[in-house]
Amino acid sequence: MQRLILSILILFPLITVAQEKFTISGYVEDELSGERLIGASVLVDKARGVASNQYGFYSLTLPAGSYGLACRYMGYKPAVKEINLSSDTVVNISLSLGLELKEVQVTASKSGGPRTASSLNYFNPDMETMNRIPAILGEQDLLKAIQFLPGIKGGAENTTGYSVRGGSADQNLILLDGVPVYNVNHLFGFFSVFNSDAIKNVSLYKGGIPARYGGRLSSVLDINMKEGNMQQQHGVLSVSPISARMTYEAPIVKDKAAYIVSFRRTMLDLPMLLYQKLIGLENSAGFNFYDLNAKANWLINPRNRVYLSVYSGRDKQFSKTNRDGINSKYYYKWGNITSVLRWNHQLSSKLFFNTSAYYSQYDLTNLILSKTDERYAKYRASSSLNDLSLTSDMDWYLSPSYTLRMGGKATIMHFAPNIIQTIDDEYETKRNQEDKNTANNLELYAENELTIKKIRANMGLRTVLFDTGEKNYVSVEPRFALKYNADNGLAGNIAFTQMSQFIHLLSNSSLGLPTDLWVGSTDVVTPQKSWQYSAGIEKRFLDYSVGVEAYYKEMENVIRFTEGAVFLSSQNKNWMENINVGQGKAYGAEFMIKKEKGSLTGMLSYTLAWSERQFNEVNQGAWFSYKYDRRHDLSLLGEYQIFKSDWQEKTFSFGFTLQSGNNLSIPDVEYQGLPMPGMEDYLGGIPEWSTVRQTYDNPNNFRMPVFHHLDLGYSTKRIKKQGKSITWTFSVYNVYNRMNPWYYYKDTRGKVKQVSIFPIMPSVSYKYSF
Amino acid sequence: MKQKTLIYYLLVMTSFWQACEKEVDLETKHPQKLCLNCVLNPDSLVTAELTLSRDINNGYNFEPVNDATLILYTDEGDNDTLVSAGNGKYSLHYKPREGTTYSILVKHNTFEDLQATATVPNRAFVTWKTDTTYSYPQENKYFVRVDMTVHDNPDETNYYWMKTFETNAVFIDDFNRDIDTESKYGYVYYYYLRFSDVGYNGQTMDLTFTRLSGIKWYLWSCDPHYDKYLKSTLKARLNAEKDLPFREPVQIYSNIENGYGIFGAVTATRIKF
Repeated sequence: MQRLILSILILFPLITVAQEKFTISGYVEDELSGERLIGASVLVDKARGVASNQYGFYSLTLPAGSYGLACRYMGYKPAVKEINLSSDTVVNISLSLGLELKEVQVTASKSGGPRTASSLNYFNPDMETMNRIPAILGEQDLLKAIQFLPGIKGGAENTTGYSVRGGSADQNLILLDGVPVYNVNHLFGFFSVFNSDAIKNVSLYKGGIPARYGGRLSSVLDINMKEGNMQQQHGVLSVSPISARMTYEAPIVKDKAAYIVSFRRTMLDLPMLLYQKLIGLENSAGFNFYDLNAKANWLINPRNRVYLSVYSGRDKQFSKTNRDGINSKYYYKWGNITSVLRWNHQLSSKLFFNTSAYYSQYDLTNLILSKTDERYAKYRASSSLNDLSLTSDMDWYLSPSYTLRMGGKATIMHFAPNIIQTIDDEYETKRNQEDKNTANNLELYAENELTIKKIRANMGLRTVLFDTGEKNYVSVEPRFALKYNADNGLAGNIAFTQMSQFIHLLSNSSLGLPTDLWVGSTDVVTPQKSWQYSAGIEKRFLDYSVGVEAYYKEMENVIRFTEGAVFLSSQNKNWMENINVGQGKAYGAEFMIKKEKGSLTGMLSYTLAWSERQFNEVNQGAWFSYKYDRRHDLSLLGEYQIFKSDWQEKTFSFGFTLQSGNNLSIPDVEYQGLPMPGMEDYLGGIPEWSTVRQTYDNPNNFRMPVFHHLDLGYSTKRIKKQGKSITWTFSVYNVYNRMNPWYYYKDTRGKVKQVSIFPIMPSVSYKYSF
Repeated sequence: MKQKTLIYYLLVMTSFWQACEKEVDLETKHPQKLCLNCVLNPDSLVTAELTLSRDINNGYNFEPVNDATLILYTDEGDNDTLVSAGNGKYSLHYKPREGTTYSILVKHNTFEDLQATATVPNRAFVTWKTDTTYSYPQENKYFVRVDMTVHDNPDETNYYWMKTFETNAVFIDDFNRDIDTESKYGYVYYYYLRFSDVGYNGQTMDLTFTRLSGIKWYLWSCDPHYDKYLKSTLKARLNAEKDLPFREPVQIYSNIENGYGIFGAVTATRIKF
């Protein structure tokens, strides 16, 4: 029966109607920069149309005749072209920036995107809007901004880790130009690695995830970098209290090739280093991070285009001391490198190929050097994950009502966890070399996008073979999403998503620590799996859209770390001894009201959610609340356009969130302990700590107080000649100075202390575009 | 200490924030449960201690429980009742045997029955040789370099513990290891060395370390429950000592059904340097 259903999912859509037809195909692009636009709607009437794909390509096959071809994309003036279709025709559509009917669209999804996805399953926010959301210390951060969306909950305040529909942070697939980024955190998770100036497009899937994506259980965040201006040079210089950013893009050969380079560096260490220098300290300590994004593309001919995209980012924490003749040096550094070489090939007016070879690396190194006249000691611990993949995808536009997507990916992953080298005058020791291992991954998918009258469906299947070297795992993942659009603006949708995850993040904290390591599934730790069911309705009326969606997700083989791994300690090579494998479930409902047009735009959302876990070894096998189990989550995000003209824009923005508090494990019981072996021989007697045990029955047994804060922002943009502009953004985080607890600890008197670290914080940032 | 300083520095530098700290009272009402502590050792008579748990920070002494019935069962079907010696202590004039599985049942009129099971591991077979490294003649003490070999028993999974702080054997669990550039290998192990025969079952495992002579020394072989209890206890201790802002509390392992504590087993191999 299961096979029959799977066959239907793949083969049923291949039924097409034979009739003399011709194809209109081409690209949708920005008129000024030549940047290809993702998800633009290309329509010949209300019912027939497609969305441009990730490379701006569209294809429409229609019977011969005359058509009015309309193209829409958020923030751009719509374009209409009259086409007399008597043969296959190439129509490239250039859209110019501008607002339709003097309206502003804020927080609305773009017009394209998966046509079966509900607005609660899929978000495609506009980056301009995202960049105006009030941000702490003026540093715009994509991963914090999405935490305002329904169904997405952050971990500790102002950190980039997020949970989607009750999943864990490592269950989110985060792609940068199609390449997985394995550590998305700077500064222990207070900032993400994504430089907002270099981002062109963001797609976020929470449910109904198409078969082209796989590898994580809970969500997909697909980020595309800008490609480079094909027409003219352009740059952005931005400064915030946290960092300075510079982006420059220009054509290499006009209309043929272009590049973009964007660099960001934190300025956190500069005041400290300056201070150390001024007072003549021989010791120095500091922290810094940087990101470098670079991308070039070459339009070889109308059918072929090549992209080369590179990202490198790194954090470094360091200290140098020179005391009593001992020179010591310490650093901890970690970072990602991603690079992808991509070839877009248009085989015919209906067939679009994308082939990529990519490399993604995450590594961390801890080095300690100690040197005197007599002795020398060095300790170096490093861990790395290398991912080398070859992917190929095909978009086949069989008819306006049917698109077939197929593709595959072959991956070699190399894990080198905790490789240690110690050197002193007598010894040189290398450890854990034997722990290096390799895993191979082969993935294939087929995805059918269908429109049958008012019904749109996306049915697909993804199969994965994961080879650990000792064991093979095979996963078959059906995907299904269906949307019914009534004429009155009412739409209903249902979706089913099965996902598998073959790599696991070793972490016992919701923070993004550099010690967090990815490891592959083993014969003991089997792949995680999830099954998500969702159903919802939405209604558009006047300037508003209202939606509600319910979901239920089951997870299998989820991992939980036994507590107590010490911050910044090395990872335990026997990591399998330190984990529990169990199951999870998450369910809830999300509500959203959006106002998409007018001077005042925004989104109000509410999520009612449960997320639970069960491990045989924990809480005597009973279910308990997961750390992201926040029952209520109310968010308001909005923008009011105060003034707009050809030379100036003034915008007021606001964000408010009110949530149930985070869950924590806090010892609430103590009992008599048995002294550790051999302690009876201690000269000072058995230490007290060995005779008392403090613990708790069920993890996450304490819920923090309600979490809320209001953030306000004001942005003024002055537009000058030749496309130059200056933007000042003023923001206040936590306007009414709510002391949300960040963590608790016990002081030496045994008293519990609550620590809040984000009081009211005003900030200003500056941006110069040229 | 260096790590702690750096982390606080980072917190301060990150956003110039002013950490706000206040004392809070957390609601920690927790029903009392029985706590049973009993570790079987073939070298000792069976002893157990039964006390009551309490809310955290709610006193200094644990209330002993003297009116319970403790029955020890063997896997051969025998059973014996432990005799109360007062102050929550119970004993049995019996030495547990290596390789035997025992279960314990605790009955009490007020609380739910407690149950647990443990198997006494076989005594570890250890060989070693020593070599004097340096001495303190005036104190009649000297340090010896010890080359020790643990001959693992292939018929059971073994968890070993011993008190040594510096060694570079590759199979040592690094959960309690920390960087110390002044130590011989660049790191030290806090309180104990822990290692298991996972990946080394039935093989020999060599350790080299330096110890002061004339002090009795043990290699403890623990059953899995006692091993987890020790490891979680030590993790909790390290967690408290580190005093770091992001630490997460440790749940102490217990195999006592309906209660707290530990019912485990250990054998000790004495080593004389």
